[in-house]
Amino acid sequence: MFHSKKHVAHDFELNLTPIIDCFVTLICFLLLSTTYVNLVGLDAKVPISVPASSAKADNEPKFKLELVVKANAIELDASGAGPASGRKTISNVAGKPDFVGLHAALVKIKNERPKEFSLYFTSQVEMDYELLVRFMDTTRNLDAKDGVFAFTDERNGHTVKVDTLFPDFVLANLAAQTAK
Amino acid sequence: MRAGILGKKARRGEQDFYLQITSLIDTLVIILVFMLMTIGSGSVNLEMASNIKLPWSTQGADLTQGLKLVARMDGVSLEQEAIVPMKDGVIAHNLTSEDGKKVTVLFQKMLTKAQESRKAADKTGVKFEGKVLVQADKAVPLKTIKQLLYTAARAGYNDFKFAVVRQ
Repeated sequence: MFHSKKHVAHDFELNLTPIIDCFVTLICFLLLSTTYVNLVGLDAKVPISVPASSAKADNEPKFKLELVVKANAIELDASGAGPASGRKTISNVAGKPDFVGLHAALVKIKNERPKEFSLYFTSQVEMDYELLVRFMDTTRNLDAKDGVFAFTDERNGHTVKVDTLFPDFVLANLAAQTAK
Repeated sequence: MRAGILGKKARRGEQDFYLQITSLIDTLVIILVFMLMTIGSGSVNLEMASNIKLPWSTQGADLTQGLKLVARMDGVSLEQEAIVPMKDGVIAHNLTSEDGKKVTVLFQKMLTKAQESRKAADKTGVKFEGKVLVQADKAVPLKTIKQLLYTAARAGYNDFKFAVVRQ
């Protein structure tokens, strides 16, 4: 059989039809099976008494932030927050909780105690779950216009930037029920 | 190699023409890779329960593994098993105990789950964390949510994560 050393240009056709079929089928399958709703989680806590930490906490200036939802207002009671301490009543606007006023009040408290993250929530009125999540959102989120909060970590001297308000949302109504 | 498909020969001119599909294949590959990456990035594959409208939130962390508790307006289910019926998001008083705070049947089920999880944790050496993923309809009353959380806490589940839709 004769083999020519001369290069001969051969045209050949690569049959791409099956691979395109595969791609189209895969993409259709993925499009149908993908969910476009971005589910995330919001942490909620119930208070649990920890004796070991309670003894240590007695020696430190106690900070406690309580949020009480009443029929006509939101009551914010902060202790151990310097000038921002005390009870503040934020009246409802048009029959609904004033989330803007609440956020502003929380920012003032955060400015005094950037190391604190816990907020105890109590409601004296019935509300739906959506409103509860709205309260969780308001007490957690820090806007860019609120400024930058930071504190120095005593263990290593590093400056820690804080990008949330009070994310540890504690459902205080359950306190007496869950404490054993 | 020619990245094209040989088309039908024109009848009159008998000339070949090629359909350029290189860019089409590129696009398909990019879409495919993007979708595969999107699917693989979630930490927990939590399906949204049917007949439920979750509340919206502007923030939130990735969901983690935990016992799945779903509260619809017509009932509560645990790990896809219907446990307690409800009417308009309210649990009948005769299904509760401890002055209406604890949902009796749910407590029994969760206690069993907790005991099973603790046994499994002892065998595997993985710590039992008592996490609950709560998917609740946005219209469910706070009273019901508190009943469910109280029941879960009594059964040993103290770490709650509310599933919400990120805006």
